[in-house]
Amino acid sequence: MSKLDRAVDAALREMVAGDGPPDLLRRVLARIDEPVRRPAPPWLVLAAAAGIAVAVAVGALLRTTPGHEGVTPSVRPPARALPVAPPAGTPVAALPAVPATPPHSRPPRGQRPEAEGPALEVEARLEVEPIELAPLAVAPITGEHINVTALTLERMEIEPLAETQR
Amino acid sequence: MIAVFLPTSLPPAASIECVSDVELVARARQGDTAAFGELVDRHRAAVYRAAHAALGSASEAEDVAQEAFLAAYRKMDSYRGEASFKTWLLKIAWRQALTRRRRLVSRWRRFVSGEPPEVPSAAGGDRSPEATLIDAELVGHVQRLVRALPARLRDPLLLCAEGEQTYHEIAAVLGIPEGTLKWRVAEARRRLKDRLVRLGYPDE
Repeated sequence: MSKLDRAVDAALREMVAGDGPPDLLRRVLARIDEPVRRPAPPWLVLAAAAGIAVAVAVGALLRTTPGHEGVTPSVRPPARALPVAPPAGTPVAALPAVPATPPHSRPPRGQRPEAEGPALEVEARLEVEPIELAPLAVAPITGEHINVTALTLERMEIEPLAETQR
Repeated sequence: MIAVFLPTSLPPAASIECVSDVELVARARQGDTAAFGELVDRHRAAVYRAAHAALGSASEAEDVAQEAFLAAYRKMDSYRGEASFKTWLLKIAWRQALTRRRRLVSRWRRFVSGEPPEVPSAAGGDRSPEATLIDAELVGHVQRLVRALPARLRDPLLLCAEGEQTYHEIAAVLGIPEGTLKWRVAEARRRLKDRLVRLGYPDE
């Protein structure tokens, strides 16, 4: 074995020398009961990514489809018209009777809804106090007078091109 | 009258040091941490050295050895006994070491352009008497040249340098045929010697 071979062997042995930390066992045993942090399975990551991609694609499609100009804002159905306040001094008039519907008047599943008949009666009458509106004082719009000056164009003189410029 | 002799005490349990790895694995699977502790003690050095061969850093190798034993404990059920427990354990440690090495290199490249610095040698302080006798400077040159080798040559060379694993075991850890492993080790040594000769060291 040559000197270089011996040197290579010695260098390699030095590079991998060591028995590891003596407290390795204690460190390992101390961590054995730690909860395992498992990364999300690949199929779950792929499913989530696909879901996001589909949502983005649908959103983009809805924006570009004619008839869906922009995101249609959700329009609330018009609320019941508020009673118009009677002029001040008018005695409070009782509202006409409105047939009241119970909040959950839907029949249970499998049971046909019964026809609503005249048996419904309103026992209580609503009394609504008049709302007094202060008269709106709208100030007149006073715009300053705008003076528009007439455009004046300076006279332009156009000379024919010389032969050498063509 | 029939005399019945009952044992007054249970037979002494077999010393855990005499139990095979397979038996220790079976016990560890049932939650016997002492059995697992014996496995750690038996293979601590091999796992640490393999990690050290891949990373070249003592502190990184210690971390990887710890992670490898933890992973082995948690995956104990997946050990089917097709290879020796030591080979199975070394495979886990090697994979973890390579993962860490890739992370370290990519982290280095992210912040600094150029090649990563030479990792410090763990055994710089306690140089063997043999190395001291040969030539400390020559050994230093060899170590620098080893680090400069491509990983596919350096890794087999360092793993074989431990001298504790057979070619068959190391080939299984690296996932390459045994013949390929032998060729890579020989090629690595040939390149090292060529470069040393070019540096002016005579091959006597």
